[in-house]
Order: sequence, then structure tokens, then C-alpha cells
Amino acid sequence: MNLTGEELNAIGLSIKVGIWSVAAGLIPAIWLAHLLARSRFRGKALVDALIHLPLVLPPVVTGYLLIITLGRYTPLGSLLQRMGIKFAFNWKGAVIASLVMSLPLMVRAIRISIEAVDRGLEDAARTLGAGRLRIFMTITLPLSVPGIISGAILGFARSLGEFGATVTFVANIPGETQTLPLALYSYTQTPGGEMMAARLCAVSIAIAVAALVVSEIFAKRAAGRMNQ
Amino acid sequence: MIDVKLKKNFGAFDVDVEFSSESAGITVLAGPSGSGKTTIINMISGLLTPDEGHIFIKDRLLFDSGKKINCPVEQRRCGYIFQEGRLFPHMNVRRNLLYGRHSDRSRLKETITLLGIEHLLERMPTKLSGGEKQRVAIGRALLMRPQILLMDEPLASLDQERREELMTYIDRLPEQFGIPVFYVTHSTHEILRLSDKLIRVDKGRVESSGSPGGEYHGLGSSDGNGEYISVFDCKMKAFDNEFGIVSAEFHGGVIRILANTPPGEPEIRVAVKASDVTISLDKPENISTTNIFKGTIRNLEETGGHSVLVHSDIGASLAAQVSKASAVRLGLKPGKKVYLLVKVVSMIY
Repeated sequence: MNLTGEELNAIGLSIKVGIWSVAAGLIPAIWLAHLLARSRFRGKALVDALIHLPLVLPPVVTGYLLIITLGRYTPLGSLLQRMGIKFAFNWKGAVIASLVMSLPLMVRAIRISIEAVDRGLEDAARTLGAGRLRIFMTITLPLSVPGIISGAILGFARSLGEFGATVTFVANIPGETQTLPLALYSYTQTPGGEMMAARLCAVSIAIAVAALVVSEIFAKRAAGRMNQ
Repeated sequence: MIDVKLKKNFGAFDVDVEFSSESAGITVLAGPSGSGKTTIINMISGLLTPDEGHIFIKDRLLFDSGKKINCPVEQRRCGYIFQEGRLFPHMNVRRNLLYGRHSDRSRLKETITLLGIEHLLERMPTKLSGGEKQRVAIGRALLMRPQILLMDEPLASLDQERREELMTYIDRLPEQFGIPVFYVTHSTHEILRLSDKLIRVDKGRVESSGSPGGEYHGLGSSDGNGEYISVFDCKMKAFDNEFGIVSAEFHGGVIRILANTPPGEPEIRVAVKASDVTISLDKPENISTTNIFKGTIRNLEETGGHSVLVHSDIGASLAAQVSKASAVRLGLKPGKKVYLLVKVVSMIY
């Protein structure tokens, strides 16, 4: 299967965007998941709803909301631009769009596994003199690793499939913001592009399967550690 | 060692207790399920905050609602042994043992030897038996050099054999490690075996507090079924291997107890249910019962249902429950000399 430069660009960009959005989103996702799972505070329902909003909104709406908050002429956007960070029409914007779309999935998966950690163990750690941070780093976090892995894989897969928010926020520019789904869509709109669309389709499947396999290996290893 | 006054209201249920124990040994907090035992021990450890009261441990003020003092759990230095052990499943035994913030590595070797867990260091908790898990949990708590060891029904999830085994370890803790133990249970057997000081609670209130010897309406336990029992301490004299009979000395003479194995410690504590005690005016001959005590009736107490509790002095205090009909027929009254009979098989120890 000889892939054209344009196809390779789209595949490479997709993987890059996926990895970056997981890398940038994972720590905030863990923090938010822990906050929602273990803390009680005013406005918790609001935070929960905001995180989950991209899951229920049409992705195009999310993309549009990103334009009006981070666009070049908005206060936040111009501030970032003066700091040298530009999102409009480049791959970083695609990362932002993917991150916002995949964050609820990551938070959900991680939150469930944090909630499954026996609070009795955290209490036991406290009686042994461990403070909050130590308990989180040595008990809660390691015991949530399976959820964190599946959250990361879900986030990566979601980024790989991101279409609506990306195309709205950063448009469909080959070599810059044209990720795999965007390229695939373009081919289906081009006469004689069916063959290339089919090939990208196969590549998508391969990447997704590979990600699943990798996550299985990690999850098995994490579970195996406790049964030595 | 420990001095507390605790109030906590849960709406449908409330705890209001005040007790202290100077014992450097094992102080047992006993009571039926739902009497507030776990609530009390959790308040002492700091995992639960009382509405009102104070907590002193070894003269250290850990909580005082009046002075707005509330020492956080992680600074209380109370070793807590939970019912289920709560070992960290992702760490091996060694890492569990040394998890404590002030863990004393130099005492690791001594501690694991005394607890018999030196061969388990590299194992993961899932590969340990229930008794081993609890011994590791005890070691983990001891290694952080606590001021007191709190134990909440640590034997509850173990089978009978493991219970006996672990009790020998627990019994020796105060002496071997110089640490007072505060032990929560509802089992008569554990109370008899372990307590140096007994505090009984029911429905969130203290029922009695003192040395474990004496008479009790139920030993705060569900397995005593609220029956009236008498408890006294004795010293083992001999063990008959062939028949499995322990002979022990107490203030009123010698007592015989049926036991499958010789007791681990020479000091043993025995309980007798009042309903298992027979009263006779003459010394019976040719009878299977071998525990025959001579005593004086102190007083009679009507308990309803046409039965009477006869409190007698046989050197220790022993209560017998007889029907009102028998009490009248024998003319039982305070000051009367009687013989009290207890079968060897009815001795609880």
C-alpha cells in the first residue's frame, strides 16, 4: 500500500494531534476526576456539567464556541497571541479542539476508577501519617492506573475521530489542520477519490486496533503487579 | 493512658460516652453490634469528628471541642488495625510495613520476627492468608511507633483456628512492644482472653468500666445472648492431656475446665452462665459434676419469668439462675450456706 504524501501528512498529523491532546489533557483530567470523585464543594454540579458539555453538544457548536473564546480577535485569543501562542488555522488549534472533545471521556473513565478505590485504604494511610498529597500519589493514583490507561486510550481514539469541532475551529487545510477524518471526508467529496478514502479508512482501523492492543497490554501489566 | 469524653449525634442514633483507662495492657471496648463501638474507636483515631468532648492519649490532648483543638488523623500517632486489614494491594509486604511516615526501619527485623512474618516480606497481600494479613497490618502500625494501638474487631474475618493463633500475638503486644492496646470486640471469648480492663457499651452509652472479673448481664456480646454470666480470673495449675482438662486455682479453690489444648498463658479467665449453675443444700456424692463450690448466698434477685438469680460468694462472685419454685422449696435466703455445681463442659474460657 503506497500512501501519497498528502495521506501520510494526514496520518502523521492525526497521530500527533492525538498524542498531544492526551498528553496535555491527562493531568487536568486526573485532577478533575479526583476533584469530582473525592471532594464536595459548591458548584460541583456546574463543573461536572461544563466538563460533560462537549459530549452532548453538537461538535460544530463546540468548535464555534472555541472560535468565540480563543479566536484571534477575542480578549483571550489576542492575549495568547501576544504571548506567541496561536491556535487559529494551525495544528495546535486542532489539539485544543480534540482536547476539549476528549476531556469528558477521559475524566469519566478516570473518575470511575478513582471512585472504585477503597476509601478505607486512604483512611488507613492517613492513620499511618500520610498527608493528602502522599495518599494521592502512593495510594489513589497507582490504584487508578487501569482507569487512567483506558481514559488515555479513549481520549486518543476520540481525538483520532474528531471532525466537527476541528473543521469549525481550524478549518480543513492540507498539511496544517487536515487530520485523517478531514482528509477522508475531502476524498469522498472529490471525484475518483473513493480508493484513497478506502485506504485511509483501513489506516484508521489499524491505528484504533493498535491503540486498543497497547492499552490491553498496559492494563494486564497493572493488574499482574498485584497478583505476584 | 486514655481518657475520653465523646458525644456524637447521628439523628436516629447517638453516642455519649466518657471513660478512661490507665491500663498499660489491653483495654477492651465491648458491646453488641450497633452499640457504637466502631464510632467510638473512629473518633479516637480522628477518622470521625465528635460533636463535643475531649480525647487524651498518654496525656496528649488530641481533641477538645471547647478549646477548638482537633489534631488531624495523620498526626495522632494512633496505630489502627481494621477488621479487614486494609493492606495496600499494590505494594508488597515490605513496602506495606514501611509505609508509615515515621516508620522505624531499624526495628523492622525485630518486629517481623516477633510477628512471625519474616518469610513474607516480598509477597503481595493477595497471596497472604487472613491471619498473615492481620499480622502484617499490626507490624505496619507498630513500625510507625504509635502511642497506642487501636484494634477494631481484628479477628472478625478469620476462622477459629487463626483467631486463636492471632490472639496469642495480640495478647503479648503490650509487653513485647511496650504499647497500650485499645481493642473493640463483641466476642465473649476475646473479652475473656484479652482484656486487662473492660469497658462495656450499649446503645451509645457506657454500661460498666473496670476490671473484667465480676458478674455481667451478657458480656456485651451477641453470642452470650444477653445471659447472666460470672467471670473470674484463675491461675493454671495442671493440664490433663488424656482428658483435656485444665485445673486452675482461684480465690475459692480449684476449678476444672474442659479444653482441647493447654492454654497459652498461665493466667486464664473463666466465665460461667448463671443458667448452667446448680444449687444444692448438701454436698452431692456420686455425681458427674466435678466443680462443686461451697459458698454463701449474698442476695436473691427476681428476674421475672418465675426465675431467680442467686448471687453467691465462693471466694469469687458466682451467680446461679434457678426457678422461683426451687428457690422457695430449698428455702434460699441471704446468708445461707449452699453448694454450687458447674459441669466441666459448661465452663467458658
